[in-house]
Amino acid sequence: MDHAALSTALSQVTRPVADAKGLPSVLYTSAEAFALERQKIFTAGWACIGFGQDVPQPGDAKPIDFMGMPLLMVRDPQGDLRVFENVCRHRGMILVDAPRNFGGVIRCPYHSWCYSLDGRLRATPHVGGPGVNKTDSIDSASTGLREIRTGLFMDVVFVNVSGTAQPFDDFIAPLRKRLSDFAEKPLFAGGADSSFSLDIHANWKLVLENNCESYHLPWVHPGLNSYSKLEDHYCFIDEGHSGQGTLVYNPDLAFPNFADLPAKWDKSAEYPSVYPNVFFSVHRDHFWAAHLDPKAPDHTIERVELYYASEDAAQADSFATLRAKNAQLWKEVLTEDIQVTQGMQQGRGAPNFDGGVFSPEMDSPTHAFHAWVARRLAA
Amino acid sequence: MPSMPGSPAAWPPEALDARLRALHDQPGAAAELSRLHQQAMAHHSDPRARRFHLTQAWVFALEAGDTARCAQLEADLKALGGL
Repeated sequence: MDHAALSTALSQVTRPVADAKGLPSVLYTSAEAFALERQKIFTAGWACIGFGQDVPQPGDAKPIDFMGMPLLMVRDPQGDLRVFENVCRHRGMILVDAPRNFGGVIRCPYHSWCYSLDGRLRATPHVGGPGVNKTDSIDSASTGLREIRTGLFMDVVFVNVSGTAQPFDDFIAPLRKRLSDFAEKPLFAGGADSSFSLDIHANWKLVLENNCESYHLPWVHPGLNSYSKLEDHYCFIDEGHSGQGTLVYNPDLAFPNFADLPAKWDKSAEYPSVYPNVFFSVHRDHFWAAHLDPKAPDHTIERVELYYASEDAAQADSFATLRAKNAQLWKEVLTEDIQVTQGMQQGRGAPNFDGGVFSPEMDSPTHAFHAWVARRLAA
Repeated sequence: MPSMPGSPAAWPPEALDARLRALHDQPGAAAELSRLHQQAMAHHSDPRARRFHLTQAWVFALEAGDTARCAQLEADLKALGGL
């Protein structure tokens, strides 16, 4: 990767939108750039790794491959969600290789060092010789699992691996303010019939960028045109997120609404893309989030989880048909997007593509994300 | 796998060893592994061998989440110089 050329290209991205270029193609195609993003964006800052519903019960643990970093999401006995590095402090063995519940300690499969669900090193069998379970050179108190800073917002799990990012409350504050009508309300996960994943052969940024704007709606989602026209949408840009909203949300669904919503949500819905890798979709009667899991420069897993305002709406058989219909609707919409995200990925192979340009009227949320990435990489 | 009749305490060492090997890496076997190792300890008079099996029994009790049993095994280990 030509770092001087990258630096020049990034400086063009952070110009005012009318004069800016998009991020250069190398950031969508190169393993070296992917590694740089891992360091400067996904490790140094806050990023999404999954959902609280992944570990619903005390003792539940789920291993996560976060861009090659093995993490372990755990629900501890007090019900708190914690994330650790999923490796034994002894020889670096992976501790947990599949989701499961731990009634007791987490035991390393190699030499059986044991860790409590709060990460404390609980046992070091035979470490001082056969049958002797302590040794002076290993301090149990400082040899527990490495805990990762974790934050939870609307059941979306964020981590900061470096431990050096701003406090989570500061990171999430602009989004919390935008979604304040929903943020503190009970959410109920829809379960298996309200969950789906899409395997996308495109860079993670392209998937997020596509969600930033409504410009593509009439061309890529003609079905939406009948009830949610381009002119009914608006854009927004805020610190750490940008996106679009609609003023005519009026689906043919009959889910109960979230309680005590202001009247503006009767017809509105908003779709903030939260940098770097999750987007939200908020409506008066349901909410979903899409976690983008970057697997390679040209490969992303998009996982979508839908939530409802009541336990009945989320889990009762009487709502099952409606839940399935709603999930299928969103799956169709997001599947329609794959042709353009994968098409843009292919387009990054064009030797003379210069990152593209932006419409100030229609692409400003996308440019805001590009500029955020450029600033992170240049830091 | 076939089980031996009677209490594990009465099993000969070969039968205990066979059962321990059969349970190796079996999900949900920690509690039984803990009990079997404690029984295996009874076949030994050498303190090193006794501590070995006691340690195994302790680790599997930790895995099973049996706190009362863990406390007893830790007390036994301390008495034998294993903790």
